[in-house]
Amino acid sequence: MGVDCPNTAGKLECPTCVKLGIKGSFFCNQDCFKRSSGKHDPWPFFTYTGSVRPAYPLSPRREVPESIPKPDYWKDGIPKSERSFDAQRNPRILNKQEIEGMRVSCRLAREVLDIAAAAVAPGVTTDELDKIVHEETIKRGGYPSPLNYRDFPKSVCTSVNEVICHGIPDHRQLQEGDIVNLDVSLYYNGFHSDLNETYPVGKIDEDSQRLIDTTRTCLDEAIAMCKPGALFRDIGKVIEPIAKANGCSVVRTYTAHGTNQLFHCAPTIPHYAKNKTPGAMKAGMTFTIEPMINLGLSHDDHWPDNWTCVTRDGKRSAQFEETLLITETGVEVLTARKDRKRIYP
Amino acid sequence: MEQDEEIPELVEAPLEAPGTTGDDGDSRVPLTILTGYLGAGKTTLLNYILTENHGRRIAVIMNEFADTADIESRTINVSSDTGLTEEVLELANGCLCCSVKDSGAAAIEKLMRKKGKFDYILLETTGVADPGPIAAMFWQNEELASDIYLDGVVCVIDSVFGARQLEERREGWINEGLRQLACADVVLVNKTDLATPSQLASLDALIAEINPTVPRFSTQMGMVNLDQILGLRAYERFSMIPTAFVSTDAPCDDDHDHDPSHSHPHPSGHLDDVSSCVLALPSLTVDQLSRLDEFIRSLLWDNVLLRADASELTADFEILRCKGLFASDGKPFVLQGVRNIYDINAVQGDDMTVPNGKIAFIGRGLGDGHVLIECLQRYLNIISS
Repeated sequence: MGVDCPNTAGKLECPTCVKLGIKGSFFCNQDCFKRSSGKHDPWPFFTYTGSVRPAYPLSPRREVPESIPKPDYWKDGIPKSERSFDAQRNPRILNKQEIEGMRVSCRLAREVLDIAAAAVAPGVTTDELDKIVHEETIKRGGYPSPLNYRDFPKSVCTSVNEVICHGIPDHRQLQEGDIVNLDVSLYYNGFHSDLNETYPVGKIDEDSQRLIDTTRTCLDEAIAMCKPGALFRDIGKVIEPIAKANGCSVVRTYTAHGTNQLFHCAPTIPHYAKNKTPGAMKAGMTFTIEPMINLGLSHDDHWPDNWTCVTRDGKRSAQFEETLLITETGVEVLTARKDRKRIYP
Repeated sequence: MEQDEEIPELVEAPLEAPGTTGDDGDSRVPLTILTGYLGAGKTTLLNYILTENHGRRIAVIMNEFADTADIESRTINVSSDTGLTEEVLELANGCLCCSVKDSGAAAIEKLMRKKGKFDYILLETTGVADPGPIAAMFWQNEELASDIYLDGVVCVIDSVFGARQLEERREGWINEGLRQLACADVVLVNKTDLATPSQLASLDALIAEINPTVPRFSTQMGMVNLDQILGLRAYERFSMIPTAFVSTDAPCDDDHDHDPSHSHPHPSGHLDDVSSCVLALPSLTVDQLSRLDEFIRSLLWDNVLLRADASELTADFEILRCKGLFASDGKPFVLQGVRNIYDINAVQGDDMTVPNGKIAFIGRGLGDGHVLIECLQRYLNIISS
């Protein structure tokens, strides 16, 4: 499994992978391993659905300074406070102070995403993007919410081409023509913010551009319908027809969610049309909308890391996400980029 | 950039077969929730199902599943033509972005990918558990391109002690037996060989009062024709509803004043009582259909009764289950609801007519339901003559 090695892999295994509990990183000999600079696919027998491959081993876990306040899962990976029935069922209404806390957290997350996005270019590895997100987050006094959330090993999700979401930053270099989604979440002063965007790497083909444009439109139109009294179940009724009209499909496995003092909580919002999701929007609620749109079919699969979610047909997938606040009259996009619409209507 | 890292020495691997392959069948597997009071005979029934030669591959998940968030690993018994095996349910890694997919459901799907599909999954809840939230969770989970769909809820009731259990009231104590029956799509009246005819008759009347639409079957030693409890499609098809409705009469439409001589056996009005009410529905206009949807969602999501004058009334009861079959705009529609999750769907395919539209609510503290019925009638503007 060494890079460009014609030999069958032998019984020699990458020590870093063994330490991380990843089975099957076999090489024919030490030279072959060296030629691959130690970077390799940890699951050579896995049937990948597309062309993206992991480039292991992952870099060591990044540290967060002691002085930075951390969410409850930072050490053992278990988001205990999210597990209560109430957190999962009843969307919280934030008071003025809490809303202000969300505004600050969301502004910082937007800054971090924009800085990381500026570094997207052919030849850059997703691990390097992770380093940028991590350092920019702690520089601002924030904790990168994904880090160790349910044992996620990195500080940002990087999802390339057919990866729908939750790609783990590794040593794969971005290639001209790729599309990459950066999903940034940070925890600042007790509040989580969550946003993501999909970026072209160099020049991309027409289909990829259509996919990205369609996904952005899906999100923008969904945001535009948000206001007190609007139903969560109707968000998917806005998104799915737009995706379909552009020859795309909507991912069903993952949903949008409430985010506030908890990273993920009620409401749980699907992006597909026919759903039974209960609840209406009320002023003071904060939640995300984050449609994942595929060029091909909506079916997904997971890599053996149990995180990386890919399209089953190997075709590309894009996603955009903002954190929203329901206001008395409409919606405020808390994570809006400076040059985009922030207040609706 | 960490290009200059030193390349470590390779290490020798122990011998082990790599990887597992997934099975990618397209048919979904029905899941039946089995509920019932402690001692009603659930375990006997499960043992019967596990050991009976039925030629089906049935997975029986025992143990409490009520707090699915906390299951780390659970054993699961799989009965098949090759005998009984025990597997361990492995909790899948959670998802970073939230997924509605419950960890319990995900664990079952993972096991199936590893061990091949089951024909049926039977999930036993503990005797003290309310199956409503679990049913709602599995029903909602179906949307997520799941391998599993909720087939129905089967409730086992002891024919000798069942009535007494259902009528038991204690201060500060919730009689889960009532909630189990409220949620049931089929009731098995067990140990009928030990009960007197009058016990059976009064239990039957009590069941009908609490859950007027539920089919009931008598069993002994848990021996049951599996077709009566599996493959119900209780949340999809409406075939169950019309037959089930036949046995009940609609409640009186008159504005009655709790006259003690009234012919219905009215519940005592204790807060914990579970009772039901049924309303006959004429064919609805498109506007009435959308008002019905509005009424139901306000009731199920916010526990608020909408009134015709647009004022709101906070309900002092809790709806556990609702179902309905009615016509609108020439098409038949089905309502299904468990807890705060509901669905109103046009029945696809055939041009069935619905001569007698009906809608039934089962709830705690509902009494005879006249407040609910009146509000709904007025909101739809269908005050009966």
